[in-house]
Amino acid sequence: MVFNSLLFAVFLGVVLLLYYRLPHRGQNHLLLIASYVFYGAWDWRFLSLIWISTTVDWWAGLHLDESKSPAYRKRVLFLSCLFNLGFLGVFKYYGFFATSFLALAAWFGWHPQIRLLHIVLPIGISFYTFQSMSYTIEVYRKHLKPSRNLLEYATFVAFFPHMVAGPIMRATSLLPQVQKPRVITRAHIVEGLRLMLWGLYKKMVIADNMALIVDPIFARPGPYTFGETFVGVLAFAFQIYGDFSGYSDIARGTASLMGFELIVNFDLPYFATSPQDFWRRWHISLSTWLRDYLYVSLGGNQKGRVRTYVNLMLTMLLGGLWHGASWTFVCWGAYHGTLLAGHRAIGEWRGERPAPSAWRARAGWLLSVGFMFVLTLYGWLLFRCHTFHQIAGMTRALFLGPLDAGSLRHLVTIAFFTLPLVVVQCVQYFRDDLDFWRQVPVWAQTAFYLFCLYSIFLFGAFRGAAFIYFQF
Amino acid sequence: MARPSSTSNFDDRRLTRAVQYTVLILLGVELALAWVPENVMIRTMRWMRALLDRQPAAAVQIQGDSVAQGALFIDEIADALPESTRVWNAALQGSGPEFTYFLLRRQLAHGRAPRAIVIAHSPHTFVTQRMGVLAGAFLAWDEFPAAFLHGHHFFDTLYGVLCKLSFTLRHREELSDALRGRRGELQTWAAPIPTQGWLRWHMGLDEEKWAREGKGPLPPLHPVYREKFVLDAGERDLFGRTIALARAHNIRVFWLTLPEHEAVAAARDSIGFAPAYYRFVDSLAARGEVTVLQRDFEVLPASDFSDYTHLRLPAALKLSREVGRKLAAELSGPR
Repeated sequence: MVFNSLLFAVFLGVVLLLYYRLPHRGQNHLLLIASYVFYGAWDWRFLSLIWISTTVDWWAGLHLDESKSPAYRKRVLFLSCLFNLGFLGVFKYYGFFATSFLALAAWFGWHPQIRLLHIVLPIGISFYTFQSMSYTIEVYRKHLKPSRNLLEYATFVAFFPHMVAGPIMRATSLLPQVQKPRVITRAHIVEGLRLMLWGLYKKMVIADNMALIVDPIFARPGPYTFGETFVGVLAFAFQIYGDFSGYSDIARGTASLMGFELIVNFDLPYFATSPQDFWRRWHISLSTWLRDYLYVSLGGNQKGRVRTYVNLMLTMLLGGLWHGASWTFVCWGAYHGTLLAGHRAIGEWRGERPAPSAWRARAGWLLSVGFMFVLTLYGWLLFRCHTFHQIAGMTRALFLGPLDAGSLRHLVTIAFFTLPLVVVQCVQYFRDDLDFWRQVPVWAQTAFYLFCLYSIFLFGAFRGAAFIYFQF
Repeated sequence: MARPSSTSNFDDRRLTRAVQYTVLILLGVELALAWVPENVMIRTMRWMRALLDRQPAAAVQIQGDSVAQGALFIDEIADALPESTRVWNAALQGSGPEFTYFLLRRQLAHGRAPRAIVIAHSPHTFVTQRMGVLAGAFLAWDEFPAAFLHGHHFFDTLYGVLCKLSFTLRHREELSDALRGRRGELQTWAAPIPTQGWLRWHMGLDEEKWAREGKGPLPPLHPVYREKFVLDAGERDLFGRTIALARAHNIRVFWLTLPEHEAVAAARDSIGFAPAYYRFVDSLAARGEVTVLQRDFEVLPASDFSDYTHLRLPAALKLSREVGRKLAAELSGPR
């Protein structure tokens, strides 16, 4: 069941009708049932995985709270993390590591017998596993009292608006919202509707139309031209942003209709001025998760320069691998790790500089945004390619390939669909307010909503194309 | 970093008013658009619906899409049949099997059942999934429960409800083409309803033009002709229902495979299109559900086609006579 389908519209309508009539406990029970129905609509067999993951971490949370022994607490946390990562390892990465090992062994002339498991990747497993792990880690760190109510905890893990593609909510933020009675105001409803509309626009109008350009280009085996590679990568940059931030907006909007507040997952990422800035703006819930639970746990920047760079690279490599069981994702992570490390090294080398004059600051900002966007585009090429051979072919085309002006006509289509987004984001950026529309006159808001609605009516894909991030 | 603010601490009056105005303007626009003429497909659909109420039942009724519409001329077919046998070409451009089912259903409800129907759909229309637009443009409100209940197209039918209410949704393909500066579907919006007389006249004009100027090269083959033959559960169900409805009312059902352009045949050869299609036709015939007038694709040269699917007038007239002869033999023989 995808957000951009009539099935979801009917489902949400029924859930909301019941939800608004129930008291707090009833609402939580309804949310749990609805979440399992939502997830089970893909494959009911994987509900058992969520349930096992939920009960194990709930049990771990109680034991972490009750025990005073640091050694025992550490063991419980270790077991919980091992269990969660083991789940991910088996269902998401076993095939990848097994085939990689077999390929490596074959290279050395060794042919071991390893049984490959042909398991379908449970949708959203990376998201709910990370969310569940955040709970046990926060309880271990004594930042959070564990939930004594299993159903409440299960509702926190399975909360359907964000279960399959984020944002990855921290237990410290979402669990209290599950536990306390929620007050639903008119503001929640209108804000929820607005976010859903904008999210649907990003998904159905931008991402799905960009996919029509991107898919045929990346499906071709090559050779590639400069024109098609550039157009393919540029369209993919808007596709993945529209797809994923659109999903996050719809998730936030749906949650808002039920009185919940989910975190902002994207903060104008293509306005980033540096790699560090990009990761503060792109998939914020994942980047902060990796920062707080992986980078900091590895020692962060507190253990010397070399360890800082190693930690950065390790975090980004694992962040890349989180996106998918493929070496191209690892390559993408390594690329961003290198950018982060390089940017840090340059910053250390340059040291503190006096503030530049206003016009130089403006020119510098423009250059930084443009340069970072180009670096991000190349990252998306690594991300979208299926093989290293394709990466090599497309990279060669970018520098040495024929121009192929015919392919560049797609730039008109890209501009047609993305210009409204770019305009809105420029206003958001320069007014330093993601929610600037709350302040604009009623006529402007109305015109904007009508524009979004009619764009969806006329250009939207109505057959519920799946979201890219479901596969992660 | 741009700052988002909390949902619970802002003045929502402007947002609420904007939402209210949006809904009101949306309703106003759709009401105003209700006076704009519909596109040719919907006008044809509604013309047929009106015709059902006026004309007596034809003995033989042809169902299909635009290919059958312009390839099977009723007077040529009727010439081969016993005198006073009325033939009606009820094929509709852009439609698939779903239209056949709901048309027959409506005919039976009006007590105007034909004696025989000839199903002559182009196989690529089996996957076009036009249920939403069909339901929105053709079905009356009291027919929607049946459309919902037949199950396989529940959400398409729900979309059909939205199409019925919204002119924009009914014509989204044409309107989006217009906004993107493409001619596409827009150029046929105002075309006249393709009655048999008009089609014959129009195809004749084309023949004269091609005789004078020659027929230019065709654009590259559309990807739809490179797709495998697939019959989804919904379309299979609709065929089953159409045939069951016909049998229950003693209507004979004939199956006709229309000729295929040589380039289309070549493209489909490599993907095993024809064997998969024949398996489906054979399964219908084996159950005695249809009588096959023509099972195999007759591959014709490009010169017989105006594009990759539609026959030119001479080829269409020849096919119509052949179909007439085959029908005459079938209808005169034992059942």
